[in-house]
Amino acid sequence: MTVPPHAETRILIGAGSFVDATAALRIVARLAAGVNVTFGGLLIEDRDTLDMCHLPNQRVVSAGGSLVCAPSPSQLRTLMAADAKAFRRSLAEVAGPVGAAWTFEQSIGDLVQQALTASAGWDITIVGHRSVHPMRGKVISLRAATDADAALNAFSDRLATSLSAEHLVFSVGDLSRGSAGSFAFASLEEALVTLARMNVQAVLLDLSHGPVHTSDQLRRLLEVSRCSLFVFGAAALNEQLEHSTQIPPSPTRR
Amino acid sequence: MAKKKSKAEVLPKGLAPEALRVACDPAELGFETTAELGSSPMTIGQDRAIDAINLAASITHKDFNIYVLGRMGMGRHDTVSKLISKQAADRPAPSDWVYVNNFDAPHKPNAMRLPAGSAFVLKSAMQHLVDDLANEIPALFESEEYQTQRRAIEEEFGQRHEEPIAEFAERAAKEGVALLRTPMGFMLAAIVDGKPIKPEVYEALAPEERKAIDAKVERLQEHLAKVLQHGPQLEKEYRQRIEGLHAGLAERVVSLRVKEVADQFRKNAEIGAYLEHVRKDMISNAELFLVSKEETNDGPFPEVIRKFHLEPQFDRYAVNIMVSHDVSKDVAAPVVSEDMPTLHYLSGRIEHISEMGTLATNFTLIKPGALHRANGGFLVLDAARLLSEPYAWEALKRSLQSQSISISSLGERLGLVSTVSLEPDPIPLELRVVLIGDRRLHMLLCLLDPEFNELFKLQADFEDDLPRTARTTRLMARVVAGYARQENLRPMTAGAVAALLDHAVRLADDSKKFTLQLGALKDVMREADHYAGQSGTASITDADISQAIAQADRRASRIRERLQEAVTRKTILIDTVGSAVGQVNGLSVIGTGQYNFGRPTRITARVRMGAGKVVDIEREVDLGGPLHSKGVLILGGFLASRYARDVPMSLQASLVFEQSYGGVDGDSASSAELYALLSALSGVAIRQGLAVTGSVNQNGEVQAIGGVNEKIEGFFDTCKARRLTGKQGVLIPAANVEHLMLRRDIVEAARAGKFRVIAIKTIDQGIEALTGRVAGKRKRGGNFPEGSINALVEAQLRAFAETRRRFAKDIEALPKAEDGK
Repeated sequence: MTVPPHAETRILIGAGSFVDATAALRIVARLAAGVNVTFGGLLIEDRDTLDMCHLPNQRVVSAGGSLVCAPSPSQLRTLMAADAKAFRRSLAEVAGPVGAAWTFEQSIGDLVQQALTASAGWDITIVGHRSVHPMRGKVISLRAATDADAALNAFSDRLATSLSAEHLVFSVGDLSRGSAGSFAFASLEEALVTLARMNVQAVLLDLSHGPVHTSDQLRRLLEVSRCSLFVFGAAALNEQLEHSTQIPPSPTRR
Repeated sequence: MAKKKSKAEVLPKGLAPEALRVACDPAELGFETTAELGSSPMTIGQDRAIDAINLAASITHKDFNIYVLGRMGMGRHDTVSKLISKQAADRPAPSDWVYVNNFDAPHKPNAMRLPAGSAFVLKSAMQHLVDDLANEIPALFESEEYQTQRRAIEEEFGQRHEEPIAEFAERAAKEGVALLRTPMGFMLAAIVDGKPIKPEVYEALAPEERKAIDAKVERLQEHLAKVLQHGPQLEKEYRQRIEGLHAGLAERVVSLRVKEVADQFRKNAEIGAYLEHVRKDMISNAELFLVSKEETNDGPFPEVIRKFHLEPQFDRYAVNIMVSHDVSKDVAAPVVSEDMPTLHYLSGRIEHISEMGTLATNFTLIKPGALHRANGGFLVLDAARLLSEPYAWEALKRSLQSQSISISSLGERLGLVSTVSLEPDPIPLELRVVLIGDRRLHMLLCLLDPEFNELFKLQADFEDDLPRTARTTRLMARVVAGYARQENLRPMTAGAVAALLDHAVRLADDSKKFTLQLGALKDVMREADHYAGQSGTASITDADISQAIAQADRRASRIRERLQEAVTRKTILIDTVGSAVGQVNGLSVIGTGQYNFGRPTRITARVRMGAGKVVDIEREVDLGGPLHSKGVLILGGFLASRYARDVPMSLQASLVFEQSYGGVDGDSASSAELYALLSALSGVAIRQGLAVTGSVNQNGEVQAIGGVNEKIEGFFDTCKARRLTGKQGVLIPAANVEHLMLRRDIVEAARAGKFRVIAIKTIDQGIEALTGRVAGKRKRGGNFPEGSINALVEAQLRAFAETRRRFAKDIEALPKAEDGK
């Protein structure tokens, strides 16, 4: 009997710079083997960052801890163009060996907002975040205690195995669920406080199941965890977004 | 009635036919065919050389290397090989030598001496060690034990990294500052209305507010910088902890496996020390074994039997064998003969491989040379080849002087190559070198290289020939029989052996000797065997030997035949009948490589009154060599001391080799030139049926010359081509009679009275034979007998002196008459 092809997994990687994208790409490269996958790359030029470059005496702290002058807006544009080129090349390098299709785009705006907007039609949206050290961190799957998401769990396990990392489950909303490898929190904020002081290399969550539901929460999660976010069910947030902004749903997804 | 001829007028009888060719009698050899003979010596007549070689082979002191000198085909190589192999068999097999990695300075590989036969054992043990560890170490690192420990370390350092950043983030948030990520790093911005401050908002702020924001941001920037600066130090500590973990894990398995190898070589401290270095290096480079495992094996064989030691990253643990002796087979010291003694083939070389467009090398690319292979034994080299290879002789001398083998590249010495190279440890050298070459090279080395005599204290000089006696004849026959067996030739009949020995005599150019150029005899035997095979006979016969010699002669005789043809067609003028004044047939030998043949040359002399000078035209035009010029000057001395000593020498004579367009050297024609001069002075004609060879001294004695057989044969062929008249022959020095070993056809012609070989001792005997006139001895009164050659010569010289005296008088008178006017 002929084995049916794997169902295609569509993964979108959104990042504000190539350094942030690299962390996500490195993880994705481990997952790509043996999976029928399509990649998307989205480099988002953050408007706030662009604005900050206009401020006088602005400085940048490099990853090595040295202070340098902030780039001028034109220099920043040049840097972004170089990052786009590098992002595109790296994406092709990841996709090439497994024969995956890939696309790449650039946009301007808020990183999280733009990534979520673009996530329509993608199964997983990864919001890239750079790592400032080489120590392998944990893989955290963040979920609402009331909802056991089998797909998220399976993906988290696979990711942790391929990264040789420890997998922890953060359940929010039911304190009785704590066990080995599983932590229970009464609220999302508690979970974020714990997360802030952990060495984490990826956080996986499903927007359609919670506990994160809004783009602000997602932005806060990104700031606190300081690692790449693997976002499932981003389409749910998109629909909310569309309705809230009076944009009709995409005809292709009807 | 015809007048009875005087003794001088009669052509002298020549030598008896038996004296022209002293042939070997097959009946005296004592066998029918060589198949009857048992074992036979392979060398003969070389006792002096053999003693020298034996001394070189047995003496243990340094620098008693030996130069074996002699002509080609003397059996030098065979003799050396046989004698040295015999001595080598009594010596133990020398040590094995290997190069191993110098872990402290990889560009200076370590040489290691091992007991004979151990090199391959060590090499194999190291290969197994690498293969085992390449399987075991990755398994160890995949274990849960390792993963747990590693995670604990990562956890600890990850936490130490994250906490300060988290604290900073909290503090920044508390102070209303946002952390923004840019391609260059982190940027801090004050938060206004929940958003990073906009430039226009910032500009609209009061200066104090802007200043406060700037101060806050700056303070936090410096704080963040400090936090991030701590990162590299933490990473360094992290790496050290991981390395320590790896080393701790690897140490157990590496030490266990290395100990297994060390136990095999417990008695060898040097190997023990090396293995300790290996152990430490393997522990500190355990990741090499992890990388190796990561590479997939797509081949048909299971991973467990994969030969990891063949992978380049494990070259550092390889054992590069320079020389090894299989003790189950090689129980003797080595005897190595290097046919191509280039610098690299002699002292070894360091090869390079191309890596990413550059040349790289390591100790596994060191290749041994002949010196390595022969170390502890004997090295046989051809001197001419050695000296013709750039820097090879220098390298050999340097190795012998320092008693060690250092490897150097020709490219480096010439400054042609500029790439990474190695400085391997020199390997101690204990070696006896045997150089085989010719005498000229030996003499040049003695003269020009002062170090040669220091390093080569012995010489083995091979004799060219062997005295011919009944005993040595039988011995030579046995040697010949031995060669026939050795070369798998057909047995030789006694007649064939006798014919071959006759050829040996001819090659020696002496009827009392055999040549010891056994190589030339072997060539004849092999060719004769071929002809015997063609004719279907079971043994090599006299006819086969004769055919082989004749065919070899024919193959080489194109130039001889062309010259003979030129004489026959009178392109080259040679008279073989009649007589002529001032003209004689001289004989010379022409050499074309290995082949020599004789040919007649017309020598003419012309005389007139002069100032006592004999002009050698050959010398005047630089066609005469120094020996020839010396011969001509001797003529002048002979004439001046013998004739008309009471008057000034008033002769002007010119001598020439007619139709000679090449150089002439040697004094073997000096007697012929003297005969031509005497004929010209006396006006008595010389018999043109005779040819002359022999040098002369100032006393008029005829002296021995070389190539007598070829010269006689050359004139015989010329006469035969014209027609043998019975009045033809050759005058040779009496001292050369012992050297005669003429062709059989000449002997037969002599026996039939058609040709003669006349031995003479003095010029007087010669001129009598040539002219049929008495030479004449000076009487008590001081004069030669009237009508004798000498009387006529003296009279002519006196006449020249008188003419000269008169002429001088006339000249003296002329100016006086003019003065009187």
